[in-house]
Amino acid sequence: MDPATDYLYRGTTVGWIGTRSNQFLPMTCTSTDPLVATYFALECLFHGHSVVQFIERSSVEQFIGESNPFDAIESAVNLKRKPLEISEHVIHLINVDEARKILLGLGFEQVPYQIYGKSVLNDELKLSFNQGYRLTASQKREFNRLAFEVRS
Amino acid sequence: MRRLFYEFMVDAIEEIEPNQWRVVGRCGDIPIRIGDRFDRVFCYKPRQYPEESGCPPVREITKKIGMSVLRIHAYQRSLPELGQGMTGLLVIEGEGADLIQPDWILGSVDEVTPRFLERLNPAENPALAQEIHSVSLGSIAESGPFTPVEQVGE
Repeated sequence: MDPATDYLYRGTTVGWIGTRSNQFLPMTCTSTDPLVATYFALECLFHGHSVVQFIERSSVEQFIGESNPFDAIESAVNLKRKPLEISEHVIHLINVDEARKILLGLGFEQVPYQIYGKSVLNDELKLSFNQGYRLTASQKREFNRLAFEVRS
Repeated sequence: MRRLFYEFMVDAIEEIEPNQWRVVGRCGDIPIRIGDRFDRVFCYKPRQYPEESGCPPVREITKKIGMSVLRIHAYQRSLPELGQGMTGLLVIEGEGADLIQPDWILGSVDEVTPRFLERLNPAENPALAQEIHSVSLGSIAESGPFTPVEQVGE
């Protein structure tokens, strides 16, 4: 088991049931990169209690679904289950502020305090991807280690 | 206070048939449905400082178009609606495709209206729905449909 690749991350609001499209498909998007999940969580700050969730990849492998535009930018792993069903697989979560602090400590100083709406989120995801701001395997291990020291 | 617009952020556009285009991108804060009409394409003023990410973006250039949504696809499926924040593909038809380019945004001059409000199921997001509901009811009751405050350059 490699702690750098064992987890999928999801930035969301606690209790969010997803959009009607999430329900209809069903589909829940996660990321292999905690920076991406943190960006989503920063946008969620406008909606409620915003967190970064940790999901063991092995527990949801059977749900991995179709690809979608922006999968590369989001390091996305799309799961064919409704968001609340995926929440049952969450083994750990941290507040978005904690996630941001950890990322700052790892040198990701460009992570904003919050993200206003989907258009700014879209810009931040694309800009950070184009600038190569994604975690390496060793940075993911350190992110995981520090995150699991934080009480959820 | 949140301001919500009906938007689709364009990443790529290609003509697939005469007068029909496929646009790839991300849905904004309001779900998009088949039959919806975009009457503006615009871009936002680039942000200069990281702190600006927490502030409402400012429309820099706005141009008139007239495009309708014919089909919606995401995750290799056809959908009746593209949820807020979801990436996907729209097939659109109408006037003004030559004005649409990557990183621009399809939208409407309208801010939140009752037509869009009913798309946000309060059960999905009680806090946001409550906030939008109170804003919208107040502004519509007092002053009618919203008029954007940004400079509109045609």
